[in-house]
Amino acid sequence: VYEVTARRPAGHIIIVGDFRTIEADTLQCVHCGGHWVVRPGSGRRRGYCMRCSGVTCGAEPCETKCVPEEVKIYGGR
Amino acid sequence: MGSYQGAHRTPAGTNLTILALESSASVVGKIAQIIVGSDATPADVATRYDVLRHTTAGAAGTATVEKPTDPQAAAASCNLRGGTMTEPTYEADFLLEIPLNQRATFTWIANPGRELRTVVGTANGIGLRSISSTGTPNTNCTFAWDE
Repeated sequence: VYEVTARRPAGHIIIVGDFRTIEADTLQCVHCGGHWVVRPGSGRRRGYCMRCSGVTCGAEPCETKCVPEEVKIYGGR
Repeated sequence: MGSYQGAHRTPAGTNLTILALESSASVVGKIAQIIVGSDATPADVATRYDVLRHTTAGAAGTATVEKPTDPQAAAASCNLRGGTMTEPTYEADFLLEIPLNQRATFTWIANPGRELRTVVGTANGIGLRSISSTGTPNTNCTFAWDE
């Protein structure tokens, strides 16, 4: 069962259980690099960074300041 | 660039790291696939796993073999550490949350370019940690990463 899809997914999950297999897409935060499963109507508030042109995860540090993941990973190198 | 895999198994519990990938001084690990399951006798045990970045590497633990996808490839630069270990210092926010019944097997696959990346530096890395669990089932975890 492919539960939810996204137009431009960043990843996919597959959960194989006793009775059925669940598949879903994940999106990635352009600031922290974290992934989350797309669940319309979940009530979780996500964001969008106009500078990075990508979605953000909704965590306070990612919503209040634009620090691209590249900067976090490599610092000033 | 090389591709590598490594796996480890250890009981879940409260704030216990199952498997951690640690950066080298100059090489970043890019995790492209995570598989989590249990080889214990099937039972209904609910466990929450988080994938988190750490800023201080774990200590002791179990040395885990990093197998290159291509047998001719050079040895991995990143280090793989299996639990149970002296826990690393993790960041507060997780990169991926995995609530899972012990009977189920979870697989996450990143699209190319959208991997989970470690911060450069030997103290930094990414670990799969069981945050809470209603039991202590053996947890099996596989990481596949590029560097």
